[in-house]
This record gives sequence, C-alpha cells and structure tokens, in this order.
Amino acid sequence: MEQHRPPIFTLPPEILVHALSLGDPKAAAAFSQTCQHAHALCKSSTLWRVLHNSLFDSPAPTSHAEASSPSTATYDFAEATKKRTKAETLLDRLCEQGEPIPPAELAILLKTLVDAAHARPPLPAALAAPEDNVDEDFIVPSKPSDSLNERWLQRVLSASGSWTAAGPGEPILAIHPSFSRDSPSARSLRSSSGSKEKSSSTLESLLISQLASHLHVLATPSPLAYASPSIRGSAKEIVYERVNYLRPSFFGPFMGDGSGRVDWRKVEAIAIVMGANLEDAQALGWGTDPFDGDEDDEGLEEETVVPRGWGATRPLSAGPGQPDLFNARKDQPTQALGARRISTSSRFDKSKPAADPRDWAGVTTHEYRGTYAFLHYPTYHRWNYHRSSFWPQSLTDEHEAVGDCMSLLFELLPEGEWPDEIDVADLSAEAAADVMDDDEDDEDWLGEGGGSTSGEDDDGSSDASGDMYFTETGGAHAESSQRQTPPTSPPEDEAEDNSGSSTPPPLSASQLSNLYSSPYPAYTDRALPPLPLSPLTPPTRLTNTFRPSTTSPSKPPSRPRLAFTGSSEPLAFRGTLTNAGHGPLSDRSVRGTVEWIEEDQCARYNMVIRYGGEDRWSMNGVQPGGPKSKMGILGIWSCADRSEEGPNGPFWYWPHVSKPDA
Amino acid sequence: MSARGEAEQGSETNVTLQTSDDEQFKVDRDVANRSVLIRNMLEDVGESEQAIPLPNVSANVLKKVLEWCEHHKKDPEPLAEDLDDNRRKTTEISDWDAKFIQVDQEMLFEIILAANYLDIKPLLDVGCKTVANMIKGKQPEEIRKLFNIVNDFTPEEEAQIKKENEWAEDR
Repeated sequence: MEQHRPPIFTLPPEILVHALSLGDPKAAAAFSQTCQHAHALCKSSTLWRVLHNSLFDSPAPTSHAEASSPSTATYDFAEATKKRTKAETLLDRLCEQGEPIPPAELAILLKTLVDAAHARPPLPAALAAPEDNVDEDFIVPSKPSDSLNERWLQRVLSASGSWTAAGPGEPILAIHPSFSRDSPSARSLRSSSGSKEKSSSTLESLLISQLASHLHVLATPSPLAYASPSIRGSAKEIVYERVNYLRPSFFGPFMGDGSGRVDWRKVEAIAIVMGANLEDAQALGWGTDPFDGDEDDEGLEEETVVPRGWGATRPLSAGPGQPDLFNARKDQPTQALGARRISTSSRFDKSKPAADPRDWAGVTTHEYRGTYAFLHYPTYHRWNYHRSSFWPQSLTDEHEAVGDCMSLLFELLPEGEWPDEIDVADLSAEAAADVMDDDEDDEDWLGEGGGSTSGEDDDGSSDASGDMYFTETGGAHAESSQRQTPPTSPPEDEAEDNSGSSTPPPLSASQLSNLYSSPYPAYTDRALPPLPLSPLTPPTRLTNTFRPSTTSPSKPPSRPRLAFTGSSEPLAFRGTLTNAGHGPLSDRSVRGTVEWIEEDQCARYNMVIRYGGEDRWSMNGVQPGGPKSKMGILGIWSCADRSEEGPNGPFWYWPHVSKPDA
Repeated sequence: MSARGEAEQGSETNVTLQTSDDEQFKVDRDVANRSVLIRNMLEDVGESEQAIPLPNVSANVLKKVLEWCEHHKKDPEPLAEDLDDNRRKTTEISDWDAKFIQVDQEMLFEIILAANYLDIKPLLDVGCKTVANMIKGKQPEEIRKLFNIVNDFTPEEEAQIKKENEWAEDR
C-alpha cells in the first residue's frame, strides 16, 4: 500500500529544510503539522538556527565576548524563535485590535522581551561614535540598529495600528503598566515589605511587575517617565520612601529581602523621577557647560546629553572611551576655576595608553555626568514620618530640586591595596552592628530571635510623639514618632511574622530565582548559583554582602569587584535649580566599588562622597544596561552616616560621550 | 591556470552539455559557468570538444535552467558571506525570476533539484524561496491540499502536534 509520494518530497530533506528556513517560523510550524515526514523534517536544528539568526541576533560569541558570556552550545534556537514569534503575535493583537494580553501569557511575554533585550550583542566600537544630531524628540533612533533583537523590540513595541494613536512607546505600557497609582504592586512597594499575602498569585503579580519595570528600564528612559503627573508622583512616593532603602535593600534599589537582587520597580521609579526631573531641568539650562567658551558651537560640543532609547542599554554603547581619563585630566595644568574642562582636542593624545585590562565596567574610561534630586526636607520628613490624614497622602504636587550637573572621574585602586574605608564605613560589619542595635526595621527583618525584637514593642507602645509634625531635624521625638506613624515601617505584627524562620519575606530570593531569573541570562539553562543569602537562613550580619566571598567561590569571577577613587565636581551651570553648601571643591572626593550581579545581568555601584573631612553621602545603584552602556548608573543617595532621619533621593550618572575632533 | 582560462574564454567559447535523455545543448561558456559543477569540470579537463554529460538532468529541465543562466550570465558572483545563514536577505525574487519560476510544481521541484545538482546557488534559492512563499500564511490543511500530502497522523498525534505548535497560532 505504498502511497504515491507527493512531488514535494522528491526534494532531499536538506533542500526542504533550506526552503523552510527561507520562510518564517509560522510557515514551518504549519508545514510540520501536515504529515509525519514533514513533522520529522521540522525537527531539524539547522532549520531553527537559520530561522532564528535571520530574525534575531545570533548568540555566537563576538570579539567582545567574555568568559562569563553565554555559550551557544546550550542555546535553544527553536525555543527562542517560538517564544518570540508568540510574543510578536500577542503584541500585534494588542496593537492592532487593542486586545489585551491574556493574564496567563503576561509573565512569559515580558520575560521573552526582557531576554531578547539582554541578548543584544555589545555595540561594535565602530558604531559607538556619538552622532552629530541626536534627535531629542524620538525614542526610536533614525538609523536602524545593527542589532536584530533591538530592531525587533522597536518594531513589536512601537505603534502600528490605529489603536495606538498616542504615539511611540505606548504598546510597551499597554502590555502592563509596571505601576500606577492604584496598582497593587505600587501599593505593596510603598508599604515596603509589609505585605502578608504570600499566595502564588501575589508572587506572580510581583514577578510580572518586576519584569514590566525591567523592560521599561531597558527601553530607557522609562516610557512611564512622561506619562502623567500621577505616575510621576507615584514614582516619587517609591523613591522618597525611606524604608525602601534601608540595610536589607543595601541602601539602594534592591529587594528588601536581603538577597541583593535588583528590585526593578525601584529602579524604574528612579528612572521615571530622574528622567522627568532632567527633562524639566534641561529646559532651564541644566548640563550646559559655561567653561567651554562662549562660542555656541564649542559649547554644544560638550553638551551633556541625557541617555535615551534602547541603544543606551546595550553593553559598550558608550563606546570604548579613553583610557585613564582621570589622570589625563589631572595632569592638565590647572589654571583658573574650570580649567579642568580641558578642550576636547587635547584629550586625544597621539599615543593612547592601553585601557586598564581590569576595568570591565568602564569606570576609568569615561567621565560620568549626571545629578541627583531631592525633596525639600520638611516635605521629605513629613512624608516618611508624619503621614496621616492631616497631610497629603501623595507627593504628586510636591516639587523636587535637581542638583548641579556633576562630573565624576575615577581611577581604579590596585588590587590588594584597598584602603579600609573602601568598604564604605556605613556598610561595614562594625557600622552595621552599631546601627542595628537601635534599628528595629533591620533586626526585625533579620529575625534574630525574640529578644532582639522585643524593643520594638516597647517603642511602639510608648510612642506618644505624634504631634511633632514640624520637626525638621533628626531628634529623639521624631525618632520615636517614626515608629508610631510609620506609613511603611513594619508594625509589631510584622515582627511576629518574621521572627520565626518559617515566613519568608514577600518576594523571597528562592522564589524569585525560580520564577524570575532562571534561566537568566537567556542563553543558559543551567541552574542559578545559590543566591548569596537565603531569606530562610537569617544572616548573622548584613555586611556589604556583595563581596566576592559571598558568591560562588568555585570559579574566579570574570568581572571581579573593583574599587576606585576619584573626583566629583559640579559643572557650573546657568540654571536656577541649585543647592548651596558644596564644600570646597579641592576637598571633595568619591570612592566606591563596582561588582557584577550575574543573576540580574547588571553592575552594582556603591559610592561615597566625602568632603569637609567627612563621608557625606552614600550612593548605591545599578547599571541596568551592562558594562560601558550609555545608560549609566541609577540609584539612591543617602546620608553616609545612616543617621536615623537622614534624607534620601534618586541619582543618575552616565558615561559622558565626548565627541571626537572633527 | 584558472585565471588564465577565465581571461581567455570569452563568450565565443562554446560548451556542449549532454542531458540524461541524450540531448545536446551548445551554450556560451559564460552561461555554463553559472553552474559551479560545470565550471569546475571545465577547469579540470581544460579545453575539450567533448560533451559534458549531465546524467541527472533531463532536456526539458536543462532548457529551463539554461534560460535562467543565460539571463543571469552577467551577475556578479555571490559573496562568500551571503552563502550561509544570511542568504535569506538576498533572496527577494526579482520580477524576471518570479515570471521564470511560474511553472507547475513538478517542474519547480525539477528545477530545484537540477540547480542543486549543478550547484547554481542563486537559482536554488529562487526555487526554495518560491516553495517558502507557497507555504507562507497557510493552514496545515491548505498545505496538504497544495502539495497532495496525505495526513498520516493518528488523531492522538494530531492533537499532540497541534498543542506543540500553539505558539504559532494567530487566533
């Protein structure tokens, strides 16, 4: 009963596979469903590799590949192609018919998009040169990206149908707004780690909002930044919520569970607040450099450009930079104030020294520019310690101030010669012990036993200072009122909750690693290394846990922790938003460390600004775009001495890309 | 030796090709050189009056293939980098090719087989791209009809396979 062989199967399998590989993934899927023979043919790994590489960036190692780069051996071309095809279908339906993403598909869709963004290859150096006319009005760059993934993301996330008349950037929000005023995720973040619901649905919604925020951050600046005043207000409420940035969060945009994982909602909130602030400030002349001469065109040459667009979150998008910029600048003869703003031409010597091979992060190859923002302190204080029905429950209408445009230059410290203070006094074990003796939030969270939490009950019940509404400086009254009115700090029942080791914090590290991060990065299917701190085994002390010793010791990290020192000076500017009280410039210094968070595929920075003989400000942030990405470092500044009621706020510093000589 | 050969062998040099059904075709060397197989043979044997046997190609197919080669004899050689995964970028079918390839299925597959045997990559791609376009946008049942494919799945298999292809569904 030999059936007549259809003519198409007179073609040898390799030719049929070739024909299918010239089509699209959906055609291959349809063909595979016709009969046994076709089905077998479509199992070809060549077919899926070619289909994948015709649509997406090949994961083949590039010249920039590092030891930690994912290998192609474990990469599943078919799986990646299928997931992205599915994502594209869902997004097409969303854009063209306004059909919302089915909730069951949401997490996978967002993960697929984030993975695709992470799988973009580093920007080739030849393409990293700054462009002459940066189009300020459009997020989508005029030139198509050399990265197929980036082009794909721009295409599937940009408006195409009639439904999206509102302009570019809309579909990315329509997938899932990572937070808005009334979304549960925003509320749970505003109320810090106080959520008691640990159901899987809560976890999934947390996962989804993490992924959505991560995606928005990678599409920098967050498309939410200019969405509406209430969203900006909502982001401010997250950014200026002091308890979001205490020790369990490493004083930065990290999960409040001590895992050290990035909390992308906090990062996005910072991106929104800083993005919107800089937009406002630039309208007032922020970032222009008065020392660059009066000629307009020369001044423009050194203009501070706020990074934006997908291209800014690709590794190496800031270009190779210039080796040892710190010393190159330092060696310039100092003349008047501002003489360090040496001309562009003299910066490019004929004989370039080689870049420091240790500097995987681009600490020394770029000048960093950027700034910080802050609330009027009484507003900040009221928001954190005296929120009640008497006071507005919102920061939407509260104005912020934006700092000067700062210029940061760093040099690496030799390995093994790090001075003691590089481990940032306030993050050291000793300081932690001191602070935590009277910091219930932390002890409570750490669950160090009934004894350590007993103090809180006393505080909570004896607190009667709720009338100190106008306390502006940290004092005993305000300190206790913090415990009574805390919008966010955990009340007594929270202590019960966490003193036993049976209840993990809301988004525990292990749950995260299951749901969110594995396999992460996209290329590997291997299990994640154990996270530094399991929430179920309370650490004895939360020190600066991002030490190499806390990560898997088996293999030497290809991106080891680096320590640096440097300078931080304001570029004077012509705007009016400024703060007084910088110390003498000569006295100012920065020191810090940078380390790689493999699980989040981003670098983490800790910095301390010192002047007047004291550590003043601590800055803890992340670099979401990978090493040497244009987007730079987003994080939270706070008082270096961790004083009880010290203020905090957002900062954003990014590699300044100087234009080469014409 | 090949460099000298290329330079001297202008279009006036003829090559004789013999098909599987014993027909002979006399063609310009330029035209025959579109086939990497024939070019290599000519380089190996040098000048020869003897017909080159093509036992896998019948006269009606070779006639069609030579028509394509004649039209494309002046095309530049495809770049090496176009020959692997990136080939799809260069496979937009030109108007002439689209018209040329408007043949019945059997002839289409014969042309593809001949292009494969004769090693004419651009023609192979025209044929394969045409097949791809025929499949594109169709449901499995439509593809079966188009190519006379018999559904030999059991109902269980069919359900299973439908499930594993859910990612590709439009609606």
